[in-house]
Amino acid sequence: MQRHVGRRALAIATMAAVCSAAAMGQNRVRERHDFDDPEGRLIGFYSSVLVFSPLGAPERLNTWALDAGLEVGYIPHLSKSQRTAFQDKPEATNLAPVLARPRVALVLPGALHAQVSWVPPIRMFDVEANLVSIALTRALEPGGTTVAPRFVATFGKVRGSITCFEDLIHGTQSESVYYTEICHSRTSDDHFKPRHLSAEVLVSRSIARLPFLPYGGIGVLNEKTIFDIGVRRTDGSRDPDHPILELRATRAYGFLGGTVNAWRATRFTGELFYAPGSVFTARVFAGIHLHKEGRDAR
Amino acid sequence: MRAERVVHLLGATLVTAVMLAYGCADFESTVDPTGGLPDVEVLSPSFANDIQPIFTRRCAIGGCHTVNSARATLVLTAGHAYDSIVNKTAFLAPQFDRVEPGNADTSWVVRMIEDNDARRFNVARMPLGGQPLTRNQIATIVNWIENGALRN
Repeated sequence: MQRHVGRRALAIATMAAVCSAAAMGQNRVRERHDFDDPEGRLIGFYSSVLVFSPLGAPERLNTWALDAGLEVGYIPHLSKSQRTAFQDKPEATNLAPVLARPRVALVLPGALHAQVSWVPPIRMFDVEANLVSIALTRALEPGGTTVAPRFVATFGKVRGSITCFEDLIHGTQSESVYYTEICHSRTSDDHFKPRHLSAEVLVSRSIARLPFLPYGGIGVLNEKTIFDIGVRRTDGSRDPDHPILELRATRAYGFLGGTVNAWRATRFTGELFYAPGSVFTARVFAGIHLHKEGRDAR
Repeated sequence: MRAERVVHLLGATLVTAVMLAYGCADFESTVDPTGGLPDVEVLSPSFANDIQPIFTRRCAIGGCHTVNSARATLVLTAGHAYDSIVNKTAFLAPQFDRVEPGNADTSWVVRMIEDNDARRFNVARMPLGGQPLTRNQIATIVNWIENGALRN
Protein backbone atom coordinates (compact mmCIF):
# COMPACT_ATOMS: atom_id res chain seq x y z
CA MET A 1 0.00 0.00 0.00
CA GLN A 2 2.78 2.32 1.04
CA ARG A 3 4.57 1.48 -2.21
CA HIS A 4 1.46 2.47 -4.22
CA VAL A 5 1.23 5.80 -2.41
CA GLY A 6 4.92 6.39 -3.11
CA ARG A 7 4.45 5.62 -6.80
CA ARG A 8 1.41 7.86 -7.02
CA ALA A 9 3.28 10.71 -5.35
CA LEU A 10 6.14 10.19 -7.76
CA ALA A 11 3.76 10.17 -10.73
CA ILE A 12 2.05 13.38 -9.53
CA ALA A 13 5.41 15.05 -8.96
CA THR A 14 6.56 14.01 -12.43
CA MET A 15 3.35 15.29 -14.02
CA ALA A 16 3.68 18.56 -12.13
CA ALA A 17 7.27 18.95 -13.28
CA VAL A 18 6.33 18.20 -16.89
CA CYS A 19 3.33 20.57 -16.80
CA SER A 20 5.35 23.31 -15.17
CA ALA A 21 8.11 22.92 -17.76
CA ALA A 22 5.51 23.01 -20.52
CA ALA A 23 3.89 26.08 -18.98
CA MET A 24 7.26 27.82 -18.77
CA GLY A 25 7.84 27.02 -22.43
CA GLN A 26 4.44 28.42 -23.33
CA ASN A 27 5.16 31.64 -21.45
CA ARG A 28 8.00 32.55 -23.74
CA VAL A 29 6.96 35.03 -26.40
CA ARG A 30 7.67 33.83 -29.94
CA GLU A 31 8.57 36.59 -32.36
CA ARG A 32 8.20 35.68 -35.98
CA HIS A 33 10.63 37.50 -38.26
CA ASP A 34 10.86 37.88 -42.01
CA PHE A 35 14.11 37.58 -43.88
CA ASP A 36 13.98 41.29 -44.69
CA ASP A 37 13.75 42.69 -41.17
CA PRO A 38 16.87 43.40 -39.07
CA GLU A 39 16.62 40.37 -36.79
CA GLY A 40 15.70 38.11 -39.70
CA ARG A 41 18.66 39.37 -41.71
CA LEU A 42 21.12 38.55 -38.95
CA ILE A 43 19.60 35.13 -38.26
CA GLY A 44 19.54 34.48 -42.01
CA PHE A 45 23.23 35.24 -42.34
CA TYR A 46 24.29 32.59 -39.83
CA SER A 47 21.73 30.18 -41.13
CA SER A 48 23.24 30.53 -44.63
CA VAL A 49 26.70 29.85 -43.28
CA LEU A 50 25.44 26.46 -42.11
CA VAL A 51 23.89 25.38 -45.42
CA PHE A 52 25.21 21.91 -46.29
CA SER A 53 26.30 22.56 -49.86
CA PRO A 54 27.69 19.68 -51.95
CA LEU A 55 31.40 20.56 -51.75
CA GLY A 56 32.19 18.09 -54.47
CA ALA A 57 31.38 17.44 -58.10
CA PRO A 58 28.90 14.65 -58.70
CA GLU A 59 30.98 11.75 -60.03
CA ARG A 60 30.55 8.26 -61.32
CA LEU A 61 31.63 6.06 -58.42
CA ASN A 62 31.21 2.40 -57.53
CA THR A 63 28.51 1.21 -55.18
CA TRP A 64 29.66 1.25 -51.55
CA ALA A 65 32.48 3.65 -52.35
CA LEU A 66 33.17 5.46 -49.13
CA ASP A 67 34.75 8.89 -48.67
CA ALA A 68 35.50 10.77 -45.49
CA GLY A 69 36.96 14.19 -44.97
CA LEU A 70 36.73 17.58 -43.41
CA GLU A 71 35.02 20.70 -44.66
CA VAL A 72 36.22 24.11 -43.56
CA GLY A 73 33.98 27.03 -44.39
CA TYR A 74 34.84 30.65 -43.85
CA ILE A 75 32.43 32.69 -41.71
CA PRO A 76 32.88 36.36 -42.65
CA HIS A 77 33.41 38.83 -39.83
CA LEU A 78 30.46 41.19 -39.32
CA SER A 79 30.80 44.87 -38.51
CA LYS A 80 29.15 46.41 -35.47
CA SER A 81 26.29 47.84 -37.53
CA GLN A 82 25.71 44.46 -39.17
CA ARG A 83 25.49 42.87 -35.72
CA THR A 84 23.16 45.53 -34.39
CA ALA A 85 19.80 43.97 -35.03
CA PHE A 86 17.28 46.65 -34.13
CA GLN A 87 19.00 47.31 -30.80
CA ASP A 88 21.79 49.84 -30.39
CA LYS A 89 23.72 47.18 -28.55
CA PRO A 90 25.56 44.83 -30.90
CA GLU A 91 25.21 41.08 -30.67
CA ALA A 92 28.43 39.10 -30.15
CA THR A 93 28.10 37.00 -33.25
CA ASN A 94 31.73 36.96 -34.42
CA LEU A 95 32.38 33.95 -32.25
CA ALA A 96 34.05 31.67 -34.79
CA PRO A 97 35.88 32.53 -38.04
CA VAL A 98 35.34 29.11 -39.59
CA LEU A 99 32.95 26.22 -39.54
CA ALA A 100 34.73 22.86 -39.49
CA ARG A 101 32.46 20.00 -40.42
CA PRO A 102 33.40 16.34 -40.90
CA ARG A 103 31.70 14.64 -43.84
CA VAL A 104 31.22 11.03 -44.84
CA ALA A 105 29.88 10.04 -48.26
CA LEU A 106 28.69 6.64 -49.34
CA VAL A 107 27.48 5.47 -52.74
CA LEU A 108 24.34 3.42 -52.32
CA PRO A 109 22.77 1.01 -54.82
CA GLY A 110 20.86 2.80 -57.55
CA ALA A 111 23.57 5.44 -57.97
CA LEU A 112 22.39 7.27 -54.89
CA HIS A 113 25.07 9.25 -53.08
CA ALA A 114 24.46 9.77 -49.39
CA GLN A 115 26.36 12.42 -47.47
CA VAL A 116 26.24 12.66 -43.72
CA SER A 117 27.81 15.14 -41.36
CA TRP A 118 27.80 15.54 -37.64
CA VAL A 119 29.47 18.37 -35.78
CA PRO A 120 29.79 16.99 -32.27
CA PRO A 121 29.13 19.24 -29.27
CA ILE A 122 32.72 20.22 -28.67
CA ARG A 123 33.47 23.82 -27.84
CA MET A 124 35.50 25.42 -30.64
CA PHE A 125 36.45 29.06 -30.48
CA ASP A 126 33.57 30.50 -28.42
CA VAL A 127 30.74 28.30 -29.62
CA GLU A 128 29.51 24.78 -29.16
CA ALA A 129 27.69 23.31 -32.12
CA ASN A 130 25.79 20.08 -32.39
CA LEU A 131 24.70 19.90 -36.02
CA VAL A 132 23.59 17.06 -38.20
CA SER A 133 23.27 17.23 -41.99
CA ILE A 134 22.09 14.57 -44.39
CA ALA A 135 22.04 14.79 -48.18
CA LEU A 136 20.95 12.43 -50.91
CA THR A 137 22.11 12.91 -54.50
CA ARG A 138 21.44 10.98 -57.68
CA ALA A 139 23.82 11.62 -60.54
CA LEU A 140 22.38 11.38 -64.06
CA GLU A 141 24.53 11.62 -67.17
CA PRO A 142 22.67 12.86 -70.20
CA GLY A 143 25.23 13.41 -72.98
CA GLY A 144 28.47 13.71 -71.07
CA THR A 145 27.20 16.28 -68.62
CA THR A 146 26.39 15.12 -65.13
CA VAL A 147 23.18 16.49 -63.71
CA ALA A 148 22.35 15.67 -60.13
CA PRO A 149 19.33 16.55 -58.04
CA ARG A 150 20.27 16.74 -54.37
CA PHE A 151 18.09 16.89 -51.27
CA VAL A 152 19.48 18.16 -47.98
CA ALA A 153 18.39 18.42 -44.37
CA THR A 154 20.26 20.18 -41.59
CA PHE A 155 19.23 20.51 -37.99
CA GLY A 156 20.77 20.93 -34.57
CA LYS A 157 21.91 23.63 -32.24
CA VAL A 158 24.71 26.16 -31.84
CA ARG A 159 25.30 27.60 -28.38
CA GLY A 160 27.15 30.76 -27.47
CA SER A 161 27.03 34.00 -25.50
CA ILE A 162 25.58 36.28 -28.15
CA THR A 163 23.13 38.55 -26.34
CA CYS A 164 25.05 39.06 -23.11
CA PHE A 165 28.84 39.03 -23.25
CA GLU A 166 31.50 40.46 -20.99
CA ASP A 167 32.76 43.08 -23.46
CA LEU A 168 29.53 44.97 -22.80
CA ILE A 169 30.92 46.02 -19.41
CA HIS A 170 33.62 47.99 -21.20
CA GLY A 171 31.27 49.41 -23.84
CA THR A 172 29.16 52.55 -23.72
CA GLN A 173 27.31 53.56 -20.55
CA SER A 174 24.15 52.12 -22.03
CA GLU A 175 25.87 48.80 -22.82
CA SER A 176 27.42 48.42 -19.37
CA VAL A 177 24.09 49.19 -17.67
CA TYR A 178 22.46 46.72 -20.06
CA TYR A 179 24.91 44.04 -18.93
CA THR A 180 24.30 44.63 -15.24
CA GLU A 181 20.55 45.26 -15.38
CA ILE A 182 19.18 43.23 -18.28
CA CYS A 183 21.84 40.52 -18.38
CA HIS A 184 21.98 40.22 -14.58
CA SER A 185 25.78 40.53 -14.93
CA ARG A 186 25.99 37.09 -16.51
CA THR A 187 26.86 35.92 -19.98
CA SER A 188 23.93 34.48 -21.87
CA ASP A 189 23.46 30.93 -23.08
CA ASP A 190 21.83 31.59 -26.45
CA HIS A 191 20.71 28.77 -28.69
CA PHE A 192 20.70 29.07 -32.47
CA LYS A 193 18.67 26.23 -33.96
CA PRO A 194 18.59 25.84 -37.73
CA ARG A 195 16.13 23.53 -39.41
CA HIS A 196 16.87 23.40 -43.12
CA LEU A 197 15.31 21.52 -45.96
CA SER A 198 16.90 22.18 -49.34
CA ALA A 199 16.55 20.99 -52.89
CA GLU A 200 19.43 21.55 -55.29
CA VAL A 201 20.41 20.85 -58.86
CA LEU A 202 24.11 20.32 -59.61
CA VAL A 203 25.68 20.31 -63.02
CA SER A 204 29.17 19.08 -63.80
CA ARG A 205 31.16 18.44 -66.96
CA SER A 206 34.83 17.64 -67.34
CA ILE A 207 36.68 20.07 -69.56
CA ALA A 208 39.87 19.08 -71.38
CA ARG A 209 43.06 20.66 -69.97
CA LEU A 210 41.25 21.80 -66.86
CA PRO A 211 43.05 20.11 -63.95
CA PHE A 212 39.87 19.87 -61.88
CA LEU A 213 36.29 18.79 -62.37
CA PRO A 214 34.13 21.92 -62.30
CA TYR A 215 30.60 21.97 -60.98
CA GLY A 216 27.93 24.47 -60.17
CA GLY A 217 24.39 24.54 -58.99
CA ILE A 218 21.49 26.31 -57.44
CA GLY A 219 19.34 25.43 -54.49
CA VAL A 220 16.22 26.47 -52.69
CA LEU A 221 16.32 26.54 -48.92
CA ASN A 222 13.22 26.24 -46.79
CA GLU A 223 14.12 27.06 -43.24
CA LYS A 224 12.71 27.50 -39.80
CA THR A 225 15.56 28.88 -37.78
CA ILE A 226 15.16 29.74 -34.13
CA PHE A 227 17.21 32.06 -31.97
CA ASP A 228 16.41 31.32 -28.36
CA ILE A 229 17.61 34.27 -26.28
CA GLY A 230 19.23 32.72 -23.23
CA VAL A 231 19.64 35.54 -20.74
CA ARG A 232 20.44 33.92 -17.41
CA ARG A 233 19.20 35.15 -14.09
CA THR A 234 21.47 35.42 -11.06
CA ASP A 235 20.52 31.89 -9.99
CA GLY A 236 21.62 30.60 -13.41
CA SER A 237 18.11 29.83 -14.71
CA ARG A 238 16.98 31.15 -18.11
CA ASP A 239 15.05 34.40 -17.92
CA PRO A 240 11.69 33.56 -19.56
CA ASP A 241 10.93 37.23 -20.16
CA HIS A 242 13.06 37.20 -23.29
CA PRO A 243 11.48 36.08 -26.53
CA ILE A 244 12.30 33.26 -28.90
CA LEU A 245 12.96 34.67 -32.37
CA GLU A 246 11.93 32.62 -35.33
CA LEU A 247 12.86 33.08 -38.97
CA ARG A 248 10.79 31.25 -41.55
CA ALA A 249 11.93 31.78 -45.07
CA THR A 250 12.28 30.15 -48.45
CA ARG A 251 15.20 31.48 -50.42
CA ALA A 252 17.66 30.62 -53.13
CA TYR A 253 21.40 30.10 -53.11
CA GLY A 254 24.08 29.06 -55.56
CA PHE A 255 27.52 27.50 -55.59
CA LEU A 256 30.42 27.01 -57.94
CA GLY A 257 33.40 24.80 -57.35
CA GLY A 258 36.00 22.37 -58.55
CA THR A 259 37.11 18.95 -57.39
CA VAL A 260 40.59 17.50 -57.79
CA ASN A 261 41.33 13.84 -57.28
CA ALA A 262 44.93 14.26 -56.22
CA TRP A 263 47.54 11.85 -54.90
CA ARG A 264 46.49 8.29 -54.36
CA ALA A 265 43.06 8.34 -52.77
CA THR A 266 42.86 11.97 -51.75
CA ARG A 267 40.32 14.43 -53.02
CA PHE A 268 40.14 18.21 -52.67
CA THR A 269 37.32 20.59 -53.42
CA GLY A 270 37.07 24.35 -53.35
CA GLU A 271 33.67 25.99 -53.54
CA LEU A 272 32.24 29.48 -53.69
CA PHE A 273 28.88 29.75 -51.98
CA TYR A 274 26.45 32.62 -52.38
CA ALA A 275 23.16 33.20 -50.61
CA PRO A 276 21.72 36.54 -51.83
CA GLY A 277 21.15 38.99 -49.01
CA SER A 278 23.16 36.87 -46.61
CA VAL A 279 26.64 35.70 -47.44
CA PHE A 280 29.27 35.19 -50.08
CA THR A 281 31.87 32.78 -48.85
CA ALA A 282 34.33 30.03 -49.69
CA ARG A 283 34.56 26.47 -48.48
CA VAL A 284 37.20 23.83 -48.92
CA PHE A 285 37.08 20.12 -48.44
CA ALA A 286 39.88 17.60 -48.08
CA GLY A 287 38.95 13.95 -48.09
CA ILE A 288 40.12 10.46 -48.69
CA HIS A 289 38.56 7.48 -50.46
CA LEU A 290 38.31 4.87 -47.75
CA HIS A 291 36.81 2.19 -49.92
CA LYS A 292 36.27 2.23 -53.65
CA GLU A 293 35.90 -1.42 -54.54
CA GLY A 294 32.62 -2.90 -55.68
CA ARG A 295 30.48 -2.99 -58.73
CA ASP A 296 29.65 0.05 -60.77
CA ALA A 297 26.59 1.89 -59.58
CA ARG A 298 25.17 2.32 -63.08
CA MET B 1 53.91 14.69 -63.63
CA ARG B 2 54.72 15.39 -59.99
CA ALA B 3 55.72 18.98 -60.84
CA GLU B 4 52.38 19.43 -62.60
CA ARG B 5 50.54 18.30 -59.48
CA VAL B 6 52.54 20.67 -57.31
CA VAL B 7 51.61 23.51 -59.66
CA HIS B 8 47.95 22.48 -59.45
CA LEU B 9 48.10 22.34 -55.67
CA LEU B 10 49.75 25.75 -55.47
CA GLY B 11 47.15 27.10 -57.88
CA ALA B 12 44.33 25.66 -55.79
CA THR B 13 45.86 27.12 -52.63
CA LEU B 14 46.10 30.54 -54.26
CA VAL B 15 42.53 30.39 -55.52
CA THR B 16 41.35 29.34 -52.04
CA ALA B 17 43.22 32.23 -50.42
CA VAL B 18 41.64 34.69 -52.87
CA MET B 19 38.20 33.18 -52.27
CA LEU B 20 38.60 33.47 -48.51
CA ALA B 21 39.78 37.07 -48.80
CA TYR B 22 36.63 38.04 -50.68
CA GLY B 23 34.18 36.31 -48.37
CA CYS B 24 31.70 38.81 -47.01
CA ALA B 25 28.22 39.40 -45.74
CA ASP B 26 25.75 40.41 -48.44
CA PHE B 27 24.01 43.09 -46.41
CA GLU B 28 25.13 46.45 -45.13
CA SER B 29 23.54 47.02 -41.77
CA THR B 30 20.66 45.77 -39.74
CA VAL B 31 20.18 49.02 -37.81
CA ASP B 32 16.66 50.38 -38.10
CA PRO B 33 16.46 53.79 -36.36
CA THR B 34 12.67 53.77 -36.48
CA GLY B 35 12.45 50.45 -34.66
CA GLY B 36 9.96 49.29 -37.25
CA LEU B 37 7.54 52.09 -36.34
CA PRO B 38 6.21 54.99 -38.43
CA ASP B 39 8.59 57.93 -38.26
CA VAL B 40 6.14 60.82 -38.30
CA GLU B 41 5.26 63.44 -35.72
CA VAL B 42 1.62 63.13 -34.73
CA LEU B 43 0.26 66.47 -33.56
CA SER B 44 -2.82 65.15 -31.78
CA PRO B 45 -1.78 61.66 -30.78
CA SER B 46 -4.06 58.98 -29.48
CA PHE B 47 -2.63 56.92 -26.63
CA ALA B 48 -3.86 53.64 -28.08
CA ASN B 49 -2.87 54.28 -31.68
CA ASP B 50 0.27 56.39 -31.43
CA ILE B 51 1.84 56.08 -27.98
CA GLN B 52 1.25 52.48 -26.91
CA PRO B 53 2.78 51.07 -30.12
CA ILE B 54 6.01 52.93 -29.32
CA PHE B 55 6.01 51.58 -25.76
CA THR B 56 5.20 48.08 -26.95
CA ARG B 57 7.88 47.95 -29.61
CA ARG B 58 10.64 49.84 -27.83
CA CYS B 59 10.10 49.55 -24.07
CA ALA B 60 7.95 46.54 -23.14
CA ILE B 61 10.51 44.08 -24.45
CA GLY B 62 12.12 41.11 -22.74
CA GLY B 63 13.99 41.98 -19.56
CA CYS B 64 12.81 45.60 -19.55
CA HIS B 65 9.40 47.16 -18.85
CA THR B 66 7.29 44.04 -19.11
CA VAL B 67 4.98 42.70 -16.43
CA ASN B 68 7.58 40.06 -15.51
CA SER B 69 10.64 42.29 -15.40
CA ALA B 70 9.11 45.69 -14.51
CA ARG B 71 12.46 47.49 -14.39
CA ALA B 72 12.31 50.54 -12.09
CA THR B 73 8.76 49.33 -11.22
CA LEU B 74 7.63 50.57 -14.62
CA VAL B 75 5.38 48.43 -16.81
CA LEU B 76 4.73 49.65 -20.35
CA THR B 77 2.90 46.61 -21.67
CA ALA B 78 -0.46 47.31 -23.31
CA GLY B 79 -3.19 47.41 -20.67
CA HIS B 80 -0.73 48.48 -17.93
CA ALA B 81 1.18 51.39 -19.40
CA TYR B 82 -1.23 54.28 -18.87
CA ASP B 83 -1.83 53.51 -15.20
CA SER B 84 1.88 52.98 -14.70
CA ILE B 85 2.96 56.41 -15.90
CA VAL B 86 0.31 59.14 -15.69
CA ASN B 87 0.55 61.04 -12.41
CA LYS B 88 2.86 58.36 -11.01
CA THR B 89 6.05 59.28 -9.19
CA ALA B 90 9.24 58.47 -11.06
CA PHE B 91 11.21 55.67 -9.36
CA LEU B 92 14.61 57.14 -10.23
CA ALA B 93 13.68 60.80 -9.62
CA PRO B 94 10.87 61.07 -7.05
CA GLN B 95 10.67 64.84 -7.51
CA PHE B 96 9.09 64.20 -10.93
CA ASP B 97 6.07 62.35 -12.15
CA ARG B 98 6.63 59.93 -14.97
CA VAL B 99 4.00 61.79 -16.94
CA GLU B 100 2.56 65.09 -15.73
CA PRO B 101 -0.38 65.88 -18.01
CA GLY B 102 0.12 69.18 -19.80
CA ASN B 103 3.78 69.46 -18.85
CA ALA B 104 6.18 67.46 -20.96
CA ASP B 105 9.16 69.42 -19.65
CA THR B 106 8.87 67.96 -16.15
CA SER B 107 7.67 64.53 -17.23
CA TRP B 108 10.41 62.05 -16.38
CA VAL B 109 9.50 59.77 -19.27
CA VAL B 110 10.44 62.53 -21.72
CA ARG B 111 13.71 63.26 -19.93
CA MET B 112 14.65 59.59 -20.04
CA ILE B 113 14.29 59.37 -23.82
CA GLU B 114 15.76 62.75 -24.77
CA ASP B 115 19.39 63.31 -25.73
CA ASN B 116 20.26 65.41 -22.68
CA ASP B 117 22.29 63.63 -20.02
CA ALA B 118 22.07 66.47 -17.50
CA ARG B 119 18.27 66.56 -17.51
CA ARG B 120 18.15 62.91 -16.50
CA PHE B 121 20.99 63.28 -13.99
CA ASN B 122 23.30 61.11 -16.10
CA VAL B 123 21.10 58.06 -15.83
CA ALA B 124 21.50 55.93 -18.97
CA ARG B 125 19.24 57.03 -21.79
CA MET B 126 16.31 54.83 -22.71
CA PRO B 127 15.72 52.53 -24.46
CA LEU B 128 18.64 50.87 -22.74
CA GLY B 129 20.90 49.25 -25.31
CA GLY B 130 18.41 50.21 -28.00
CA GLN B 131 18.36 52.76 -30.78
CA PRO B 132 17.13 56.09 -29.39
CA LEU B 133 13.59 56.98 -30.36
CA THR B 134 13.55 59.21 -33.42
CA ARG B 135 12.88 62.94 -33.09
CA ASN B 136 9.40 62.40 -34.50
CA GLN B 137 8.61 59.63 -32.04
CA ILE B 138 9.79 61.75 -29.11
CA ALA B 139 7.80 64.72 -30.45
CA THR B 140 4.69 62.53 -30.65
CA ILE B 141 5.05 61.57 -26.97
CA VAL B 142 5.65 65.21 -26.03
CA ASN B 143 2.53 66.26 -27.97
CA TRP B 144 0.44 63.62 -26.22
CA ILE B 145 1.57 64.86 -22.80
CA GLU B 146 1.12 68.54 -23.71
CA ASN B 147 -2.39 67.73 -24.95
CA GLY B 148 -3.30 66.44 -21.49
CA ALA B 149 -2.02 62.83 -21.62
CA LEU B 150 -5.49 61.53 -22.34
CA ARG B 151 -6.47 57.86 -22.21
CA ASN B 152 -7.77 58.05 -25.76
